[in-house]
Amino acid sequence: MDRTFKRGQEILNVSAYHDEDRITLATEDGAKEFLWEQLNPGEYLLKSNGLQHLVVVARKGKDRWIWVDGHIHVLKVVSGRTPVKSEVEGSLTAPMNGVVLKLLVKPGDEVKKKQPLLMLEAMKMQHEIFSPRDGLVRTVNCQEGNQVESGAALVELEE
Amino acid sequence: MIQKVLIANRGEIVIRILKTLKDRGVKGVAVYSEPDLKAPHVSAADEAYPLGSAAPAESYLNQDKLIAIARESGCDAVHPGYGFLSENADFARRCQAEGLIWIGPPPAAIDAMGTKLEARKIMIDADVPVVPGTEGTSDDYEGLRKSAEAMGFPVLIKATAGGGGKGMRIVNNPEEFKLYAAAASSEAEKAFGNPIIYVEKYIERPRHIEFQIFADDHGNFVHLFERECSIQRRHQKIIEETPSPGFTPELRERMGQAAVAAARAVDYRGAGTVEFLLDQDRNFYFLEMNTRLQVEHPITEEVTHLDLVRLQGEVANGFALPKSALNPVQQGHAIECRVYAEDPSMNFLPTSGEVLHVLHPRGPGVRVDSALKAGFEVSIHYDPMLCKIITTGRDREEAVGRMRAVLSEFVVLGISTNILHLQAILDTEAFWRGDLSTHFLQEHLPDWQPEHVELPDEGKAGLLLPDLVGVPDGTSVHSRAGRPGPCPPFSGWRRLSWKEGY
Repeated sequence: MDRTFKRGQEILNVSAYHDEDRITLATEDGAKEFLWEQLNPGEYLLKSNGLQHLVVVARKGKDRWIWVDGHIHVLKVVSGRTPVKSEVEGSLTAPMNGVVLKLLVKPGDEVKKKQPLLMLEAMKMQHEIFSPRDGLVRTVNCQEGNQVESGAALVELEE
Repeated sequence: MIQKVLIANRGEIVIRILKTLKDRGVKGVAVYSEPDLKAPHVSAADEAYPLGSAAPAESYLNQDKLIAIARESGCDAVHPGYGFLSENADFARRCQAEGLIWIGPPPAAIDAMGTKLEARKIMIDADVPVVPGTEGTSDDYEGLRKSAEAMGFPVLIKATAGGGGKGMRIVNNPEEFKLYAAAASSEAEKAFGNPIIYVEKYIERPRHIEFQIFADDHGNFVHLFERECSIQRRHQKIIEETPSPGFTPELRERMGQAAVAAARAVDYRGAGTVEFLLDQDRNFYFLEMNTRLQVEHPITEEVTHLDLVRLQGEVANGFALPKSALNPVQQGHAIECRVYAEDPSMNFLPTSGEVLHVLHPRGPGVRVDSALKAGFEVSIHYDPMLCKIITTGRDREEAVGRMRAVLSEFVVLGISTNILHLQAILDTEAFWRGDLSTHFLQEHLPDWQPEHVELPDEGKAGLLLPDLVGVPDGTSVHSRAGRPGPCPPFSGWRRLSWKEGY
């Protein structure tokens, strides 16, 4: 799910998907995975590498109030819900645990930025994985029907 | 014996009073204005009746309506809480004329303490120290100036009918005196319909110390120790504690005796508070007497283990104060933080709006007197104080440390609050040292603003979680969160909690 928020004048793009008790967030440093648990409606515990954070979220219309680490952040949703298949923009690694449904490229193929590379199924939903840039496919490290883990290198591109 | 009490107020104090009434098997009746129909103080009561529209004059100050409700619902007593009609001697008299027990001081005592100049005279006669000052006048500015010069500048011009800083001016030199005197007098005339002003010696960096006092019909007058209330913003208290840091038993004894003398001088009954200024040389001066239960009464309750609302009821019933109150013990340390609906990034402007989510702190030594509930609309019509957090410890360090911990866990979403400002105060070195004065905020946090914090990755993930996992929108879900739920494992306080609310 991709969402764009406004916090004052600042634009914030958030991209994440969830798989049962995991939520994976696309960050500048790559995918970051958290285990999550709902304690009460709107109150979530997010865990990663032994660190645990309470996050409290309240929604009213397009307003989002979020409390984390003692600070409150107030944001407004500017873009609505986008289709589930438009996942993390451009990735050569599996953004989540899933099953490769369909390979759309083979070694030697020339691909354009944002061209779909493969289809992944997770949480009974299909996700398209797009190429992050223009390039030539060097290797494809998976086959249709393969179970892949989050972070696995699926496709490699030549420079 | 009082059987049923009308609580002529709103917000957390109603819930606080109801708690004691329930404990004592006495019925409590709440009242509400139109926007308060679903307010927490209404749902907490067994009976509640509508007053009128939002404006206080139509609702919580509507004496006719309040008395009619008290009579029709079969109440035999009225508790005014604080604010609204609590220090209105006419309302107290009307209640008594209608055969209702007034859970408050005698109307004559309210009147005596109602105007500052009269209260000063009574205190001087009772040998209670007052700030050196003059008689009142509406036009003899030259006479006032001469007196001011005799006591030495700076001086404070005050309005006898004043309050909330109106009609008050600090004057640093004789040249500007007349100008300020005329301005103060005309401001007082406009605000209170009374142009009489007087001059007091200006006390530099004073501490605001008050004493809780109690009196009954049997000649007993006691004080229940001091409360340190120096941390104020625009004359509004925000943090109170007891004992006062750096207090000595000798000073407590002297000030306590003066407080009791003040109460005796007006033949007081019930709960009252005598406020003093304490200067840097430990001289103290009578400031005023509040003839009601104070907002900050819980810290006194926590260190004395007395229920002040219960004591008010006993006195109103004509009983003598119990031994526990006549020989009170001050044990441990308690501190209170007031949570206001205001936006610190907008110069503390009061805020309004729907409360979307509340997670009250809990834990040992934590008391929460709150009128906060998800789904409730905070209105601009009333006082912006939403909630009081009180923490108690064996000593100041434990009580303050506990307060820091619980403030960092207190979640209020939907409206801005001053929680981060309270934390900033507790984090100053001066506060830890106990170096307090009413100038504390100007001296230590003059231009404080909440720092801009980036939304961490956990927050970004949490932001999408309700949409990803499909929790329905709306307050029907959020309001459920007001009930105690499973304890998050990250919080020692919540995990160990056994004392919630009061």
